[in-house]
Amino acid sequence: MNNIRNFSIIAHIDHGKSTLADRLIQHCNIISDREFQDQILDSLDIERERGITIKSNAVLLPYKARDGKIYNLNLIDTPGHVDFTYEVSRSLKSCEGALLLVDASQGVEAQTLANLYLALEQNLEIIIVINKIDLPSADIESAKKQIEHDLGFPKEDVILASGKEGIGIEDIFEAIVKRVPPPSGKPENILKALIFDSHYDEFRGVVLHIRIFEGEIKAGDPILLMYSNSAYIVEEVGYFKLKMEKKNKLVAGEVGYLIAGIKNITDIQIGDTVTSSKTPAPEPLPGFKEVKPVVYSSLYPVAADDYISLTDALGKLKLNDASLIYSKDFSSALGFGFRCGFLGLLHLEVVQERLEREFDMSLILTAPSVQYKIKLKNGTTIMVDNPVNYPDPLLIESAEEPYIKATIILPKEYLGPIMNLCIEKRGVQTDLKFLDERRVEIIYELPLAEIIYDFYDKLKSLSRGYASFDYEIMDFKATELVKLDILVSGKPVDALSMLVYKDNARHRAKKVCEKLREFIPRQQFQIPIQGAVGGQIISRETISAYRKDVTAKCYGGDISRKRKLLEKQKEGKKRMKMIGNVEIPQTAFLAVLKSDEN
Amino acid sequence: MSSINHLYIHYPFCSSKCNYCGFYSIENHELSNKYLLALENELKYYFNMYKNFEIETIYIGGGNPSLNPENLKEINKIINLFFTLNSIKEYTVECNPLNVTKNFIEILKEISCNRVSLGIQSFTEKTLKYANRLGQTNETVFNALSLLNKEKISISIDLINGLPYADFDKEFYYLEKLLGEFENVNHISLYDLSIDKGSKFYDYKNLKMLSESKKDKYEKQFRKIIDKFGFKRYEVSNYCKKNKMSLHNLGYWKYNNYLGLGPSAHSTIDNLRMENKPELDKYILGIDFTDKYVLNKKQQIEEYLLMGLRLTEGINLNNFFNRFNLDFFTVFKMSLEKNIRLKNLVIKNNYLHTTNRGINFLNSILVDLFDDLDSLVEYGY
Repeated sequence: MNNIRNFSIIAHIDHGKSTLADRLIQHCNIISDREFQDQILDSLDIERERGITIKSNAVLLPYKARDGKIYNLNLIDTPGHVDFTYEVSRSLKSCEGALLLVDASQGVEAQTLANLYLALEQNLEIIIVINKIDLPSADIESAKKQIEHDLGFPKEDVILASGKEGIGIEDIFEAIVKRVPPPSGKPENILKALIFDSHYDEFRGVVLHIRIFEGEIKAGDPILLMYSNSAYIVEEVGYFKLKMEKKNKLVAGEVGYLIAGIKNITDIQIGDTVTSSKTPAPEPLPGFKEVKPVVYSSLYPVAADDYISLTDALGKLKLNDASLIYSKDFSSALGFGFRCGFLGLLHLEVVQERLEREFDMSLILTAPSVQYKIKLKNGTTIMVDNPVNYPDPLLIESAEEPYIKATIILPKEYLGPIMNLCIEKRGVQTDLKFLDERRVEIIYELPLAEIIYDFYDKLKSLSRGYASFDYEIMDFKATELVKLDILVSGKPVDALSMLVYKDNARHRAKKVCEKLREFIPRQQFQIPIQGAVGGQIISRETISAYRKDVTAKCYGGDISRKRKLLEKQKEGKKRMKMIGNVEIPQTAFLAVLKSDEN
Repeated sequence: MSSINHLYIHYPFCSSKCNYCGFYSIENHELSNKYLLALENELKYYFNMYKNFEIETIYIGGGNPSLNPENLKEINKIINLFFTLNSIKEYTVECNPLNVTKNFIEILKEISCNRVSLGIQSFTEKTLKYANRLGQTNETVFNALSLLNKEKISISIDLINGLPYADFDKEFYYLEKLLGEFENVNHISLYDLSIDKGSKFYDYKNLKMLSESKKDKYEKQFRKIIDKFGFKRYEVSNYCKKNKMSLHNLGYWKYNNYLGLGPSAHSTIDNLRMENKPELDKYILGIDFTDKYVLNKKQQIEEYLLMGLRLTEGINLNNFFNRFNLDFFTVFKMSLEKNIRLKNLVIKNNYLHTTNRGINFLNSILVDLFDDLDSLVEYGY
């Protein structure tokens, strides 16, 4: 066990985590250069494109240290986005140490801090690495100062590196070997292993990613997943060496995989404890939380025929992404679909993109909503995330909405506009401090509903990308809600309804109506588009009818061209939804989700 | 195999191309002799291949077939090599008013042309100039009309609604005047300006389009005037006096066989489509100048509908059944119900036709009909 080191890399988005991880892997010669595909750990297309790690991953790196010994280093990659904070915390819990990356030109940012706090909560040994020192804009001295001042770490211990150029790689390895403590725990104790991730393998079924804290595990062992209270027999265990490598057993301190014929992904909860079902541990490992979605949206296939395919696709996706929850939904406008819960807006976008790319689905989404707590006059309290289920306003006593605590770090010259933005988004400032002469940290309590609308885009544009942002979910607070209905040709379109803060209703209604006017093509009839609250029209746009759509000339030569043109129009129509006599294109539904006011 | 009754010949030469024109034309006439040789070869080829010619209508279009009277005579000679023209009911030549002289009329009579399609497009000078329609004035137009009218040649005129800078006062003053003066103007084609690929307007960045409401106004006023002279709309863009429909174009709209010769001309002979490429060089060489393919039944039905419903009389449902062996009501149940409810289509005396409203939305109607046809194919038809 003395030759094992378990560590993670944590960083703000874009500080070079994946590139550095690749370099570490390459250094250990477990993969040939020919096979080397940049950013191996980010195995989803979307991850590679966006440069964000969404799923965690693990890999065992055999490293021959300067002391001549060979160490088994388990690198556990962590998701790099605030939506997945809980998953990050479970990955970190599986480690004894963490590399904290700081970009040499960007310095310490909001998620650098947030990640550091998470790592400190787990009592990890922190190794600070200033990355991207090869960049012309690198300002190592300033980064060091920030590390000393903001993070409270001595600048002498900092390692300088460049993942891109391969600088400092060995220093990093040596620091891991020397500074990160080997895992504790005894193979003879009762089995306790932490599930920090899982994935679905087409041939093997569910694969659990585990860290053994106590005891050992091998094929044939009867096991119990303590929170989900489900029992299985182990089929296979092994190490992650980019590919899975079968082993006889895994023992305390090790990281690896576990296959146990698990068919039902809902049995798997990240953070659950694996123990022996014969002699179960008295207590599970601490820190388990049930992951709860915070953002909800309905998904509908553009073509009604695709509902079965969507059902199938969601099922498959769920196998890879246990945090996705969904249930059947029906809209009179869009037909059958699914109400889905997500960990955040990014999670929603990732799911949408994966459904579209990997499963070739064409989808319509409804406006993302938070979950509201609504107290009725009869004394009961209900949770509502879907405008369709919003009760008659006459029955409502009061309503509450979820708030977040947002931490924003920004250069001081943007303080004014960002504070205005927070106020506009109903934020309440709870803290403001200068981190140094240039940078400010502000903390606001903000309604989550405002964040999932357009807060992030505005924050980025108002600060020209310099503000960094992190948040955690707080409690519910009182709010005044209304249900905004959108009527197309006098018919309410349920899929376009949304729950909004009362004072925002008029503004939102105007935006939605304008978007629809822009994206619904002219048709044979004039189309009024209205926003209404409780039967009262609060905004209106009109799409005038077109005069004609018939081709003027059509003679011998035109026939095939004309036929092809009409066939193309017909294909376009398949991406339309009929609301009464009005054809609404998918793009119109998606456009109302975007705010782009700038 | 049904007979081939319609012959189209594309004459690709033109002195200058108007900016709205998307048809295939070239301004260099040097190759006209070689074109004529190739034309003769092409006709010979089809004449040898098909034995079922019963030509009833001839249409020479372009380009500008009135540009060079000698070439026109030559084309007529080529036609005469293969067909006797006794049975021809309609022989149309497209003309530019500038070319219609006394001498030219003699040639038209010589070749027994009995119908002229005269391109006028607009009566507003500024519009004609913007459209690069050179040399045409209202004087040249009226001279041409007067010469043609005197010789009892049937006259069809072409107008465009939507050309930039059109002065409606002028447009309708002259339209009314010519209809009053020349009784042999018995056919009018009124097209909405379309910006076709291949036209110069297509590449304009800041084309001055006429607003939809102005075009609407034009159309209403146009109708009012032609009504007075007994014209009726019989197709999306075509109006005529009683019994003066274009027999040649009716052939297209009723989806009959037709043979088209010359670069860019198309032919339909039963289930075969021949599409000549818009490339004179290839046409002259006689190599790789045509694409030929078989139309499947679905495509034929689509084309039958898209052509037939352009006529105000619509399509005869018995003919549809005889031709495709399909019951119209079964196949098109959904789209019929919808478009009858929307008052776009009506069925009367076994004809399906568009309403005054529906004829303007024919593309939408066709897309609906095609949709039904798709489901039919999906279910194994």
